[in-house]
Amino acid sequence: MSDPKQGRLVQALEGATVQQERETVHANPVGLDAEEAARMVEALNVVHAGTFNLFYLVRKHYWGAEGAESGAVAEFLQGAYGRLRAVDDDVAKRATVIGGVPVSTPPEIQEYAPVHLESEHLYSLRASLEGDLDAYATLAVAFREAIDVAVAVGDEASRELLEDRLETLEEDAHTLERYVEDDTLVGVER
Amino acid sequence: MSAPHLRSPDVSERRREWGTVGDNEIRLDHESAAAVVDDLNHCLSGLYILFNQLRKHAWTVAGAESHQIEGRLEDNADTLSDLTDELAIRVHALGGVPVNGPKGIRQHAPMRIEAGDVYSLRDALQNDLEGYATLAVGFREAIETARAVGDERTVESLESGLLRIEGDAHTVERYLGDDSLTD
Repeated sequence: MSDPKQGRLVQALEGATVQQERETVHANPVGLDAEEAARMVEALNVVHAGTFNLFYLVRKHYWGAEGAESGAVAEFLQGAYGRLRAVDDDVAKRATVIGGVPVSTPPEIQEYAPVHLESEHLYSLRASLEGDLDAYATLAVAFREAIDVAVAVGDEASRELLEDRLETLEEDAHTLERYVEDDTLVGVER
Repeated sequence: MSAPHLRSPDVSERRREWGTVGDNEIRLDHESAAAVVDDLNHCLSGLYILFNQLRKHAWTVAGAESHQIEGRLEDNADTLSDLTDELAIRVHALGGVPVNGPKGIRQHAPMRIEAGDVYSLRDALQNDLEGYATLAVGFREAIETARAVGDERTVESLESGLLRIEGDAHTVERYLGDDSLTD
């Protein structure tokens, strides 16, 4: 394979059969009409892309916390990133079930995601966690907007999925808030 | 280069700069640590790309055999996620900054990222198999580098990781050998 640095990193598979093009919505087996399904897929992709990014933020900060031997925080972050991945997988699959294509390439994810990644440097644990807390709040807003869309188009299964997973996010955001408020957090970094 | 879509905490909060290797606690000299970090970041970029490729395929598999394959792809993604954590934490210990965003992934990418369309299952799995082969090459190179500088702990991590990658690649290969996996 040629050096990826020389060209575009994202590339179509040569000679492969495309089963469904990105940004298209096929007929679905769950009774949503084409326009409703397209609206729901769009909202799910926003939630999916935002969750995708928050997973990477929290995991990055887990690595740093682990390195600084800040045990309880590291353990929480490890669990939290695992829950974000599971939530993301479930939302992406829901987009597939209703006939859509979950966004998967970095340019598409950055286009959709309401949660922004952090620049590549490593930051203090406190600054990192404060950013994560903001990101959880931003993502929760996207979930609520997607729930509104689900209600509007009558997609009960998406509504239930989103409401359930929003609860998971809110619990983790609450735990994170307690860590950020805890003064000893400064003591665990070098 | 500053990217407006990236969150950038105040510079006073910065602890390590991307692309630099500082002191380490394991008595490896700076040049040796930097060489190992570079190779580990190459592995981490490949792990990022293949991990998300497997997830994409798990999300989008459709068809009679989808549940079994979906589960297998997710298990394989779990393995790559575990290896990612292990290597990233090792990069920290070596005084470096692990690949953690688009810039680092691009800078170290050993393979391309599959376009956003959904491909036939056979084509998708074929691409996964190629991803595994590329990743294995990167692990072998990193093993050589770590061994040359006497970083035995990294050698051990990479060797056990390579074994798991090869095992998982084999499970994908078996699906491709199955005639019922229609194009």
